[in-house]
Amino acid sequence: MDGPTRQRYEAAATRSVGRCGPTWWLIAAGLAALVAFGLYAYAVQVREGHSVTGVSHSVFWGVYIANFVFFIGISYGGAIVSAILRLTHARWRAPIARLAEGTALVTLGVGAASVLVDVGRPDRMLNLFLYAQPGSPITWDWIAINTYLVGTVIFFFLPLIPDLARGPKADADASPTLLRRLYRALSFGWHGAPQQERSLLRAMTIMSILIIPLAVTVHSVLAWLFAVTVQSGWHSTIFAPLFVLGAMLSGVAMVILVLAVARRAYGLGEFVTPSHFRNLSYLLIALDAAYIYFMISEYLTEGYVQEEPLGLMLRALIVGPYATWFWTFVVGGLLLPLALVALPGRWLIGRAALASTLVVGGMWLKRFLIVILPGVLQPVAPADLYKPTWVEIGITVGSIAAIPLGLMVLFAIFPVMSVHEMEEVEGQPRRAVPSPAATRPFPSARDRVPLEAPAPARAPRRVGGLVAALAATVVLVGAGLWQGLISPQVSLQLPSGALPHQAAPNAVAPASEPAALPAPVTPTTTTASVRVEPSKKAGAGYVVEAQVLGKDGSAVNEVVVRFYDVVDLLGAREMLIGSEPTDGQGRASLTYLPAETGSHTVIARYVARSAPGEARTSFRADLSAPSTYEREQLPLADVSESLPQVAAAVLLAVWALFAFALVGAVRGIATAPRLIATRKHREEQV
Amino acid sequence: MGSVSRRKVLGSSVAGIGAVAAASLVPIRFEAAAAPAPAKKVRQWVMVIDLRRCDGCKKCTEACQKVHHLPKDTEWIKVQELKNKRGQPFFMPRPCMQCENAPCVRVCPVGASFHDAEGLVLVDQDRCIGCRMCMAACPFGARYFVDEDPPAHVDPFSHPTPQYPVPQQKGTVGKCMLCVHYTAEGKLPACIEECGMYALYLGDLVSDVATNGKETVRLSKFLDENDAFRWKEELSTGPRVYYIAGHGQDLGW
Repeated sequence: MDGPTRQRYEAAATRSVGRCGPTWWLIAAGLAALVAFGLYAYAVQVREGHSVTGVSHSVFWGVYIANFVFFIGISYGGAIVSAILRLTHARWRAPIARLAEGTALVTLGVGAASVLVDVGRPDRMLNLFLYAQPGSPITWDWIAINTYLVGTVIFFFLPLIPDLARGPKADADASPTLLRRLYRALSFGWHGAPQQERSLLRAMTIMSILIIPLAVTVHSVLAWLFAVTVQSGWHSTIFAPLFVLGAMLSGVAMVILVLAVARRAYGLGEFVTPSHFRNLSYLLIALDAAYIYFMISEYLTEGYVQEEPLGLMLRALIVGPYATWFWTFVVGGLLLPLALVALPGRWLIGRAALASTLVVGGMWLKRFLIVILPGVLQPVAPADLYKPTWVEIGITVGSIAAIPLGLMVLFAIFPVMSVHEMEEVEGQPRRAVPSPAATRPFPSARDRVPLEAPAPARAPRRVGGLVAALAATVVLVGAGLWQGLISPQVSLQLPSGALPHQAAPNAVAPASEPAALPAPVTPTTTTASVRVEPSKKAGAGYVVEAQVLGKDGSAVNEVVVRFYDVVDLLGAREMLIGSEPTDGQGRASLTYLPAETGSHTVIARYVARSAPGEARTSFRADLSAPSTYEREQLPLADVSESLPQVAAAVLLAVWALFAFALVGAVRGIATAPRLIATRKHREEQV
Repeated sequence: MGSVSRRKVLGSSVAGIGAVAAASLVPIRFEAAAAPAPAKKVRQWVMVIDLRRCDGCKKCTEACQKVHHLPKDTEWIKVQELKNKRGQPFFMPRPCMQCENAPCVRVCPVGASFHDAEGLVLVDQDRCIGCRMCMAACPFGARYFVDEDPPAHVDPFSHPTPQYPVPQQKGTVGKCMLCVHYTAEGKLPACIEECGMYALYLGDLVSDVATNGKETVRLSKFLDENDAFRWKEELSTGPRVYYIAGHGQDLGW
């Protein structure tokens, strides 16, 4: 980069910093009004409850959850564009990395707020920490999102440090005092010493490697929020990759959109060139096509079998009540954008921006359909179709307005392009003066952007390798520990064949004495007796035998005797054991295996010669081999108990790496001796 | 650059691995909401619903709403009108299934849903954050979100407990708790008490007894002889509500 270009670049990067003109205030005021309206709608919801929203018993999640997934997904763009391009040493990333990272930061914040809007008791969010349940996908979610948020802040902040050291403006007097103080405090005495460069490079390499698996994790966990339920349409193995892909697609589209707007708004046309849009469009095409492929894979397998109720769900989507929205998404959100950016022709930036808008809108629609679809398709509870109310629309509009507002504020404080990173990709100017032919940081519109990497510095590669090795070690150690911790207990036991209603007689106290029972009815024409004795067959219980005799002592046959046991179930109740007819000797008997040890009262009842009669006796049941009642166990119940420890270990490692990167960079920068003169002097020397 | 920083990096890596290893060895125990002290006789409650008898009068729903002071659209026991394969209508009361492997309990991020000693799934509405993950997890649609302040209640000083969730708290989730406040007092749940068709049974798996208030039966025998089944049993949630069809009913989804 020659001197004048660099000056123009620096000027363009810092032009917006600390300078909020009337246009800025006008747009900001308009956006702030929308945000304020969203806040008002939220206040109404807090006061009235969720009855002011469209959610109901069968559609329990609505627009807010769709927003939540959508905004968090969009934030993926920053991670993928910045981290992947950094790791692959793609030179063209320099002017766009800051914008991409800023978009990630702002959308992530809005996304996290969206989920707060959805919960019924936002005042109890602390309970998530106080009573955290490791088995809940919500717990995974807030941990993953917070980790990702911290990672994104670090990822945004670290490359900012050298730029902060320059001060808010090239012209020191033009910058506000407050901003100057902030810049000085946050730059930790950066002056471009080799040690500082090394510290920063190392930290950024760690963060670049870390942010990619983190982003994948966050979006997978978001998908699992749905996929671990048994709702049809959600309980799908493809959900996590589908969400990750959808996040990448909408994220890249969002970056294109932000770049197209920022290019105009901040006058970056010289540096954010059509080739940037072309490269990002390639990415968009690939992701769009991949998303179509994933969707076909999902719907083909489900639609081929048409398992109940998945078939109904697909029908609702393809030709049913949601067909309009679904096909709007497919045509407008996937196919049309693909055609727009894939076909050759003019207006590259305009087409890319339009396609991105369609993709972003389409991906919101897709998330909305995912969230509301299973709820409205409970055939047993046909509910009204979900319709968002003004409160939900107001909050959504406010959330959307918060994104450009946040970006405007962010880039009123910090430079919109990274100056230092541009120097970096230029080939380390302070080590060797680059030959003009070797560095072409700004490809012109006609240029094909060279995707090959420049000779990378040695430090990041080595540190990168170490971090990768560390990450692999963590996974291996974690897996090993997991294996060591739980393998002795792991046994894939099939659910036992025991019936769930086998009783546990020894687990309970003996039945209490029956309370007021009807007085025995004494028939005038027959008498009866009942006796109980242990069965000769071991474990078969007791033989209960009743004998019905006439007044004269003759046997009464063909009389049905019903046997009852007096049990205690919320009071004494006569439980029917069974019934048998009497034989020639007037005897009726059956075998009874009581459920509980203890004293029992057996009653024999019958109707003979037009008169009811009964007899009763008490006995004490001693059950030698009582069966036990055990709750049903899932096959992997014992295995899953140990998983939280593995997850906690991985989480701890991630946070340790965060701290390592941040503290390492700051300490390395702050403790560097001022061996080298200031940058101005350096430039003069050159 | 060179050995110093490399040693640093390596040292940190070793320290990191050490910390990870140490963390892995510390057993992590997260406590769910404390279960209430077991009663003198620990039951394992189940419900049996004889669909042959249900005539769809919805007295059970009304009784439930009256006892728990619920609004009209909150049907902890919901009488669903379904059709069998031949297109003839039948009724299917749907309470909470009190699943033994309850998905709602597993997905709750704060342990507000828990099993009590008698196997019932209760909700601590003082802890619930209203995320509705349990509603997403429940395959039976048994959970209801309290989306506005409850109607004026007879006892304004009553504070809801998991065992007596009256009045319902706005912004939390409630559900059928098989009238544990009644069974603790020796009374039958309100829906069973009010069912004029005696279609609903309360059963105890431990003493193997069930009663509909009029007849008392041996639970296991009753279920076996009537081909009782559980709704969506294939989802492995272990429902504790048994249905007796007998008339070709298909509960479907």
